[in-house]
Amino acid sequence: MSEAAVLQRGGAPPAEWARWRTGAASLLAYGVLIALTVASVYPLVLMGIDSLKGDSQVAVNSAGLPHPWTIASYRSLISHGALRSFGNSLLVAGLTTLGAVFISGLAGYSFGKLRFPGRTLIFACLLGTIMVPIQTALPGFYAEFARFHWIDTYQIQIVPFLAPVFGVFIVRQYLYSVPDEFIEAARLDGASEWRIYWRVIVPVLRPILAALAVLEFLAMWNNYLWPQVMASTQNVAPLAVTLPTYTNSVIGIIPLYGTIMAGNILATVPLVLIFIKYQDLFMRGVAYNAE
Amino acid sequence: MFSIWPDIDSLILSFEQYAGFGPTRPVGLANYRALFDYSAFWTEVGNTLFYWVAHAVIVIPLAFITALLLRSKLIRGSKFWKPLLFLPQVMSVVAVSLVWQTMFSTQYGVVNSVFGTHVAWLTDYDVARWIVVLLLVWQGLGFWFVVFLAGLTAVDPAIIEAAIVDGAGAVRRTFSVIVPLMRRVLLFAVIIDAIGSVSLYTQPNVLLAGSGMANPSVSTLSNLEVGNLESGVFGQSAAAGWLLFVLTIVVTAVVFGGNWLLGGRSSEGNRVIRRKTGAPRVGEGSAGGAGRARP
Repeated sequence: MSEAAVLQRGGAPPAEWARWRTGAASLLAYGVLIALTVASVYPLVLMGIDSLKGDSQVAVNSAGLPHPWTIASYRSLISHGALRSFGNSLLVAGLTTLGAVFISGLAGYSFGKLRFPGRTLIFACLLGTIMVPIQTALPGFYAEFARFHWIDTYQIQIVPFLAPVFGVFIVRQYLYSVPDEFIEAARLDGASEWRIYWRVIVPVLRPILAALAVLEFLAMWNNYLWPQVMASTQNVAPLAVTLPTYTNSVIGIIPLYGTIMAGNILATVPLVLIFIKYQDLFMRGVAYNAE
Repeated sequence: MFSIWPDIDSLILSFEQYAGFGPTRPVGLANYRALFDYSAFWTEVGNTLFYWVAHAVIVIPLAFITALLLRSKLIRGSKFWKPLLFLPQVMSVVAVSLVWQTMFSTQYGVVNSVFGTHVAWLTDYDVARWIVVLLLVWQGLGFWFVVFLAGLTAVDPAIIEAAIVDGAGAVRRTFSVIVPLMRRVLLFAVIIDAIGSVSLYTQPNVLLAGSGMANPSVSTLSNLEVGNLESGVFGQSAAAGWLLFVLTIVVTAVVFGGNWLLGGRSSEGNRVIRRKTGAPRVGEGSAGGAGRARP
């Protein structure tokens, strides 16, 4: 909107005044959106720039571009064993996602479409656990798992996350939109329950299982409290746990920011790539919260 | 069941003394009493509530407004803005907290060097708690924005049109028509966000203390639990874990109570909402609720 439009304000006819107002509102809306978007993206950009500066340069030249550009931070990252941590993250998040999607599908189908005694009660108990924070179970889990010597292993990072209640819940909700006749027809044709599940239900569930998979992977990749307490040794710890520990071994507590930034890139870029590829799945998964 | 047993186990542990090995000894309520007598416990409960309220009152309205803007005719290309605003959600939480640490560091931080200031953003605890809040807002915005956008898409356009025909302006349309219709989604958002906030742990610790634990004056109740667990005081750790659950219930009850208090005045709107959102995945295009939505 130009100055001319502002000057006209006084004597402008109503239609023009309305158009001016809409224009100003639109401008303001774009301003807000641009500000929010810049804020959203800036930390990622800063991460990328800082990862190419080297440890000491991040401190003295925090806001500017790298001078000189260097990949020293990435070398240092590898020497800190970050590739192992990255592999651990990938392994744990990948296996858990596969298992959780498989179990959510089966359990959601059982709760949604099969009749068995106590179905509603068991489901209600399960839903109740959504309210319970993971912290409540943490000491109990720790005490139990210590007995089977599972502390600092891969399985302790995977097994407890294999049955996500949220997943079971959304699969069950989704199945309400599938008419029972659909399943009955298959049953009349003499298909076994197992066959019905794979041939009839899974194809229907595909979009929701895919959405669940990306969200589960994201959640597992971001897990911090659990592995920090249960699996913090370098061998099995995920990147999220090892990243903040990259400190100067001589001075001790001073973080090696260049190295950490390179690690941040390693921790963030895979997710951002998955996001770019499967954007709609993320959005759809999140949007289920609105129903 | 697999997911309930460890909770029960923690409950039993919370009435016992256990060092992680050897026998357990029942101690009654001593663990709880010890926590209540510990001043840091109350500070951390206060911080937990502070982080929840302070970020929720910003992020929920801001996400809602952003979603409204994107739905409105003022903005074009919502396909372009949506993923960019959602981006913080797909960034590793630990990585982001560490980046924020460099942005707000006192001596070498980006913010201080750009503005030529020397504010102790992260080490002055009265300031640091607000930086944590800012981080939570920054992270949560994209998530709730997408949820609200999905909710707004489900609002029957016929209702909005009816309001326009009735001569309701944009502001009035938002508060008298859209907000009541979105009530269930908003309530759900506030509750889920609250439940998540009570168990906040990663952001204050990584942002303010890297791999260590943040000072009790800025940390949450989870820190007390984890700290006790790591020093082998299982009973008190389990007691803190259960108190965290109790706090979750209290917070949820407060939200429901608040909703009930506000809801007394607009039962008409509620009825429409139940009709519109009660049945899943239908209702787009049906003009059934249009007549009723009039304030």
